[in-house]
Amino acid sequence: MTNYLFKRLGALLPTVAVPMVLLFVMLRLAPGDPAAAIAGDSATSEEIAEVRSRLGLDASLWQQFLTWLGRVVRLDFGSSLFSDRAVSGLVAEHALVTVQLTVLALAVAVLIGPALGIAAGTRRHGLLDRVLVFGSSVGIALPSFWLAVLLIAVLGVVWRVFPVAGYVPFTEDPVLFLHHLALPAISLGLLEAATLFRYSRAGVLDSLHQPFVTTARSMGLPERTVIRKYVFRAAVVPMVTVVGLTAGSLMGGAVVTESIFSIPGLGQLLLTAVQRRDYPVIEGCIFFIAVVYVLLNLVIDLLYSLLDPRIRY
Amino acid sequence: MLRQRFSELVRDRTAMAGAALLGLMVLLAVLAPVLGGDPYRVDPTSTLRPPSASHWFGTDEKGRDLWTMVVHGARTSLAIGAVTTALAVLTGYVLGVLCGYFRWVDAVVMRVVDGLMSFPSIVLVISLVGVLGDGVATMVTGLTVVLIPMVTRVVRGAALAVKAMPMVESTTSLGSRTSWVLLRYVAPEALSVTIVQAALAFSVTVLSVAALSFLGIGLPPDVPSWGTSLSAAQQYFYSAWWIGVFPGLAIVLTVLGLVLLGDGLRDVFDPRSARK
Repeated sequence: MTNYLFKRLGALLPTVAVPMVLLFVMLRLAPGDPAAAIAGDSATSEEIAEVRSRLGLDASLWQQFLTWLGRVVRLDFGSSLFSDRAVSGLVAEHALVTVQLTVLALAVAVLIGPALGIAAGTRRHGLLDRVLVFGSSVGIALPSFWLAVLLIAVLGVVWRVFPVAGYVPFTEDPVLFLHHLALPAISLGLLEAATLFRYSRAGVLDSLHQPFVTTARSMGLPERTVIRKYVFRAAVVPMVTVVGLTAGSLMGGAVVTESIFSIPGLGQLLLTAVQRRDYPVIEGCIFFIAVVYVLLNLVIDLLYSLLDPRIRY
Repeated sequence: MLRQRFSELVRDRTAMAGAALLGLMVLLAVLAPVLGGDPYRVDPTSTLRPPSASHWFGTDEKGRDLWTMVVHGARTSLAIGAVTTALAVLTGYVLGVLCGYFRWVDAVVMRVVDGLMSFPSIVLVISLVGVLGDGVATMVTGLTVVLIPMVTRVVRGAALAVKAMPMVESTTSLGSRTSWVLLRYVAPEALSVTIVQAALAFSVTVLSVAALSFLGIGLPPDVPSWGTSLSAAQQYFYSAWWIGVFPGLAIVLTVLGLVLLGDGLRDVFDPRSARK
């Protein structure tokens, strides 16, 4: 088991390393002088040189890479180029908000997607099935930010049921917290529900043809029991992977959603950093997201063996 | 064989609905200069006008005709989508075939692919395009980098399957050169899964371009694009619902067309994974 854990962690290393190295390379190969861009239009050549040496851009590419690597390994991302705050603190602060939004959106997706998937899968070719399948195709084609704009317009501006933007910490007021995050969570989660729907429907259709289902039926069990005890259970295990991947893509989607609802999360931090070319902050955000991904994947694999006793490591 | 699959595809009603939607959008994009007016013409005297006979979709916050913006937006989206998809699919296809055949290439390339695949692509694109600076070229570069792994992985799987087939073993034992085996057997067999991936890659590109320009990253603000139009809608939705509706509909119809077509292509070209 411990052995397995180490092997998995090793295999997941590229997930952290590749985006980071890619970013490093792109940053250095990018046309134009980043130091000049950061220093601003009115900067003198001394100021630009100062920024350049502060970024370590005056060393050779290999030297830069080694220094950079040494810092990343020590988890030292330096401080923001604009506020002089430590990147680790900035990322931790904003990540907390994003994680809350992601969990809420995941709850929306998990509550809606699989339930409808099972309902549709057990009534294949029925009216409900066809309507839901078409709906899920639209859901996949719908950009989450458009859904967000529409939801804001109808529920926020016209009916005034939900606030259109902002964020209240949970510790300050749990009710206002949910009230503010409801629209972002719905606009993110509803579309992921479409993906979960597709997978769970396919899982049900798949397990309906398994031999153990035929056996259960031939034993004379009522169809409801067959579905609940056999079809459902077999369909649920592969869903764990999908839910894990969904949590990941929700974090990605949150980046866009946060900017619409002005939620002070990781997305907003990243976006501001990108617009200002605040390289240390960009690196910190990417690193954090990659690490969360790796851990998430690891947890999913371990959950697998808990849910399905046939899988042992 | 290809002809048979094509006729199978034509009989698939969902796939044809998708193709029709996509065809419609392509037509709008190609005929944009004829169908719409000048997308750069700003008219401060007629901002935020509701849909009417002279402005079918109304006008936006700068007084530009929204119908013009939507058809020219189609041009932007589909052009970037086509170029990106072509680059990503071509690179991914070559890499995938090589990975499936040569173990040492596989060892190196697949580690990179794994690293990029499991990362949320939109975050990576935002960072890359943000770092590289605005412009169509950087947008295409950023999106291509993100899409290549997706294609590579699927093509590699197909190539590995072909490599294990008896026909490859027999032709190798008869003394065929590696390049011959690759060109004659592995490459053509891996083509069908590549076609399916192309539709998927295209839809991802259209959605990403919309998301990026919505956030104001990548495209210069005066280039007509659906995402840019929608970001204005955030401010003006209450007084001008049309800005929020028509560009969004254009995105959904395009991507829906690609998703439906992609499903149909998978049923025909890659029936094994379609049944799953």
